Amino acid sequence: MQLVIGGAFSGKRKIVRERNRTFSWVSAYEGDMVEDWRTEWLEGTTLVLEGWEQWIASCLKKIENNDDIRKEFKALFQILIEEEEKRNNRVVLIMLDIGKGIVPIDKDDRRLRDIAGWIAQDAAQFAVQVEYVWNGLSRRLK
Amino acid sequence: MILFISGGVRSGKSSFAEQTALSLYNKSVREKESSSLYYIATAKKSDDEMVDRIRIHQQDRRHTWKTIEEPFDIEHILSNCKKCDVILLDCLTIWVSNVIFDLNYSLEKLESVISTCLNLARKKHFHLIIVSNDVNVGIPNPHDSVITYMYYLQQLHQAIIEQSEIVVEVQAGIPTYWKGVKWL
Repeated sequence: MQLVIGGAFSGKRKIVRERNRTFSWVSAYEGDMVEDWRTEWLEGTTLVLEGWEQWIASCLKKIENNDDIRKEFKALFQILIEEEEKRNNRVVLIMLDIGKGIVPIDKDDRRLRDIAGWIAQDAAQFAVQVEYVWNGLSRRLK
Repeated sequence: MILFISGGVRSGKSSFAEQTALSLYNKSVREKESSSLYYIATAKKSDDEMVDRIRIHQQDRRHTWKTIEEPFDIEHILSNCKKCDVILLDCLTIWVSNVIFDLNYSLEKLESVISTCLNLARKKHFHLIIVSNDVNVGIPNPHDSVITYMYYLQQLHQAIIEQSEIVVEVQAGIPTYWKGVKWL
């Protein structure tokens, strides 16, 4: 599993597209749910999951305990890694860096920012490779 | 040479850019080239806070610099620059907001102006240093105009970086070189 993280419009997709040939793209921005990966992941392709901040935000509404949310995503990462090995394909997570800038006034925004940060840390720990994208350039962090 | 320097607010990106510009200028002077050091200030004196920010930046620059205040037409200024001149544009974020909010520039128009500026630097052999800010790393903004602004700015950053010899991110006054060698 690989993690590609960076700011909005920083060129994350472009970097993923350059490094893989065929894709199954599961995107919150296209209305996909995170669990859609099971049905969307075509054989022999790289699975790309993007829009985590939206999936996390909808989780925040349903689950009160922050640790439970984090556990749920950790469990998902584990399943993805197992599946990746079974299929001998690649999984790429594209995450938005939302942890910089002004502290949001809205309480829910602050909660989202916190949990998205933790989940990114968890993803980075599980990932074999982590890339930070900045203005169309990327640097390997792990 | 084209240089792109970015970072957060008060990260030290302006003073790093100024040092860089000054050392390029001194190098030209040492090589006996007739060279000018220009500072293009894009901020409008819109309120007291801006006046104060501008004053701080001006005090830092003193005499060597020729300061040009131009919120809109940077292309015109660059077309008058000569070989070995050093031009510091500080900063792109303000210029972009000036031209998209006051002059309704489209992305195509922005890209074409920037591309002309970069071509001028190449053709006339002057040094162009562009300073910008990373405004895209906060919590997603709900306002369409802000999202559009962020998207335009990121597109320009990427276009400039593609053409730049040196690309630097400044954090806490410390430069990280994303492109080009450490040469200062």
